[in-house]
Amino acid sequence: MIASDKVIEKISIKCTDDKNLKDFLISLFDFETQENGWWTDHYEKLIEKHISEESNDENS
Amino acid sequence: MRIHKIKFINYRQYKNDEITFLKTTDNDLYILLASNGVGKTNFLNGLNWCLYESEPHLGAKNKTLPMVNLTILDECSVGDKIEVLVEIQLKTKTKTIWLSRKATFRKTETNTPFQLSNDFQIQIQDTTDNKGTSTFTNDGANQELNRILPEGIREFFFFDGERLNNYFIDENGVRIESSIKEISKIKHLNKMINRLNKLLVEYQRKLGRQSPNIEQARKNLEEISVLKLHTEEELENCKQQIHISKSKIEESKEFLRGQDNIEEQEIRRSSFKENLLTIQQKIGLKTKELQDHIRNYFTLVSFYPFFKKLLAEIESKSASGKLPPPISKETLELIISVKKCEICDSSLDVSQINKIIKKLKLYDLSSGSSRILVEIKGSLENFILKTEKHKEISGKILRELDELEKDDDKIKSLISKIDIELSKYSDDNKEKIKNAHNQRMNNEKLLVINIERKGRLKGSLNNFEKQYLKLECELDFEIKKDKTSTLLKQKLRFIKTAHKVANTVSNEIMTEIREKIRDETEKIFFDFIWKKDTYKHLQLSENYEIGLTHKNDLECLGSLSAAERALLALAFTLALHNISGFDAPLVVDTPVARISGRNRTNFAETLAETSKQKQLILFFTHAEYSDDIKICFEHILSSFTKLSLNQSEQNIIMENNNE
Repeated sequence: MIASDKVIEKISIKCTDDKNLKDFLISLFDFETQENGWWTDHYEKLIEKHISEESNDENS
Repeated sequence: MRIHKIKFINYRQYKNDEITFLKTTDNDLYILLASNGVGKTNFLNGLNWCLYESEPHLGAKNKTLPMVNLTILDECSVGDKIEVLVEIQLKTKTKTIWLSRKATFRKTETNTPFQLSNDFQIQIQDTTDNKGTSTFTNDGANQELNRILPEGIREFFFFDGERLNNYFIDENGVRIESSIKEISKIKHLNKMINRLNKLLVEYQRKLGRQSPNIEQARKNLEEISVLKLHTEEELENCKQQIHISKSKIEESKEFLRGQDNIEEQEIRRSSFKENLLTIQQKIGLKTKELQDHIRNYFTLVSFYPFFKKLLAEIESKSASGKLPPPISKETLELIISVKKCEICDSSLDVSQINKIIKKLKLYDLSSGSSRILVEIKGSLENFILKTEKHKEISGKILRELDELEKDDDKIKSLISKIDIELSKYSDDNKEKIKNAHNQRMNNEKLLVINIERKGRLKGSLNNFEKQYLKLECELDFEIKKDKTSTLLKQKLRFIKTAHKVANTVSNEIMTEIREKIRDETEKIFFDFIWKKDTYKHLQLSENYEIGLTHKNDLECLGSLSAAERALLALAFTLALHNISGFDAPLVVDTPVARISGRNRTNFAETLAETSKQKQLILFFTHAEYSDDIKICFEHILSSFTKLSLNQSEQNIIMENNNE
C-alpha cells in the first residue's frame, strides 16, 4: 500500500546513516498529515531541537 | 471501505427509498437495473449531491426539474417547508460512517421550491477500543470528507460509463497527477518540501543581511529562480493548451465521424493526418540528428579550408625535398650506429647507410617549423578525412530530410484538398459541420504552434536549471567563506539536506507509482481487449498522459474505437485503485454502454474478478444487461435490484430481485 507508511519507509531508507535527520523528516511529515497548528513555529522548534541533537551527537 | 446503505427522502424520483448492500457472496457486486429515464443517473447524482453538493450528471442546469420530489411538491401548499435528505452509510473494518446532507425548501407561489438551508453532517463511530462517535458538521464535515473520499478524485469512484469514451479528453493529466498525490499522501510531503524551501530562502536572506557577497550571490540566485519559475508556469500553461487543442480536435473528429456523407473523407483525412504526424516526427528527429552532427563538427568544418591549404603546402614542400623525413632524428642516428633497420631488423649495406646519412643532413638543415609541419601532417590528414566524411553524412541526412519534406508537402496538399471539399459541404447540418471543421483546423494549427513553443520553453528551462545550479554553488561558496552566523549556517545546512532528501523521496514515490500504474493499466487493458497482437506498449508520461503504441511503433490512442477507449479508461481506473491502495467502492453507470462482442465479456469478467477485492455497484439498462453479461454475473451477485417508475412516473419503485 502506498500511503503514509510508504513515505515513512522511503524516508527511513534514505536516512539510514542519519537517525537525527530521519526523525526530523518524519516529525514534519506527521505534522503535515495531521494539519494542526502554526507551521512556522513548529518547524523552527523542530529545527532547533534537531540541530542541538546533531551537535550533541558530534560532541559525544 | 464499502457503501452499506443509501437513503433518499424527497430527492428527485426517490421519494422515500432505502437500499442496503449486503455482501451475500464472495463477490461484493450489486446490480441496479432500470430502463433509460427511470433514475439510474439521478442515483449517482444523489450520491454526489450528498457528498459534494453538486449533481455532475445533470444536463443543462437551468433546464432541469427541481431537486425536490415532484409528488411531494404537488402535495404541499404554498409556503410549506419540504426537507430533502440523502444519507450514505459507509463501513470500514473498524468504523461506521454516516454522511448526510439535508436541504430545506419552501414552496413558492410559482409552485417552485426555494432553498432555505443546506446542512452536511458526518458521524463516525469507531469500534476500536470503544472510541465512541464523533460528529462533524458543515466545514468540519467537509474537511473530514476530504480525508475519506476527496472530491478531486471522485471521478475515480463514481463514474458514468457513457463518459468513459471521453475519459482521456475530459480528464487531464494534471488532475490525475494531483489525485495521485492526494491518495498517496505525497501532497503532504510536497507541502513539507515547500515549507522547508520557504525557510531555506528566509535563512539565506538573513545571512545576506550580514554579508554583501552573500547578498549579491543570493540575489543572482533569486533572479534566476524567478525566471525558472516563470518558464515552468508558461510550460505548464502550454501543456494545458496542447491538451485543450487535442480535446477539441477529438471532439470535432467525433462529431464529423458521425456525419454520413463525409464519413469517407473523414477516414481518409484521419489516415493522412496520422501519416503526416509520423513524417513530422521523423523530420523532427532528422533535423535534431543534423543539428547534433553540425554541432559536433562545427570546429572541424570552420578550419577545413585552412587545414586543406596547410596540407597542400606541406605536401608541396615535402615533394621539393624542403622538409625532413617523417621519422625522428634520434631514430635515424640509431639506425646509422647499429647499421640495422629499426623496423624489419635487417642489416643495411653502405649505400643504404649513405642514403640515411643524406636524410639526416636534411634534418640538420631544416628549421624547427619545418619539423613541426612534418609532425602535424598526419593529424591534418586525419582531420581532413574526418571532415570530408562529415560532409558525406550531412549530405545523406539532408537528402533524407528533403525526401521527408516532399512527402510532408504531398500529404499536406491532400489534406488541404479534403478540407476544401469538406468546407463546401452543405445540408441542414451545414453550419454545425462547418463549425466543427473550423474548430478542428484552428486547433490543429494551435497544436503545432504550442508543440513548437513547448520545445522552446523546455530548452529555456534547461538553461535556467543549469544556471540555477551554478549560482546555487556560488551562493554556497560565499556562505561557506563567511565566518559569522555559525548557528544560522548550521540550520541552513540542516534544512537543505532535509529538503533534498524529502524531494528525492517525493520524486521516487511518484515515479514508482506511475510505473506501477502504467504496468497495471497495460496488463488489465491487454487482458480486456480481444485484439491481442495489435498494440505493443502503453505509455504514461510524467504528466499522466496516456499513450498507446501500435505494433508498428506508431502512436495510436487517437485511433482507438469508442469501446477500446472505454476499456482503457476502466483499466486505468482499476489500476489506480489497485496500485494506490485507494480503499473506495466503484459505482459505474452503464459500464458497457459502448462496448460489444468479445470486449464486452472480457470487460464483465474483469469487473466480476475485481468485485472479489472491491465493492462494485453497477447500473444497467435492460438492453445492456444482455445474456452474455448475465452469464458472467448472475451466480456471483450479492444483490440485484430493479428500478421502475410508479404510475405517476414521478417516483421510483425499488424491487430487490435476486434472480
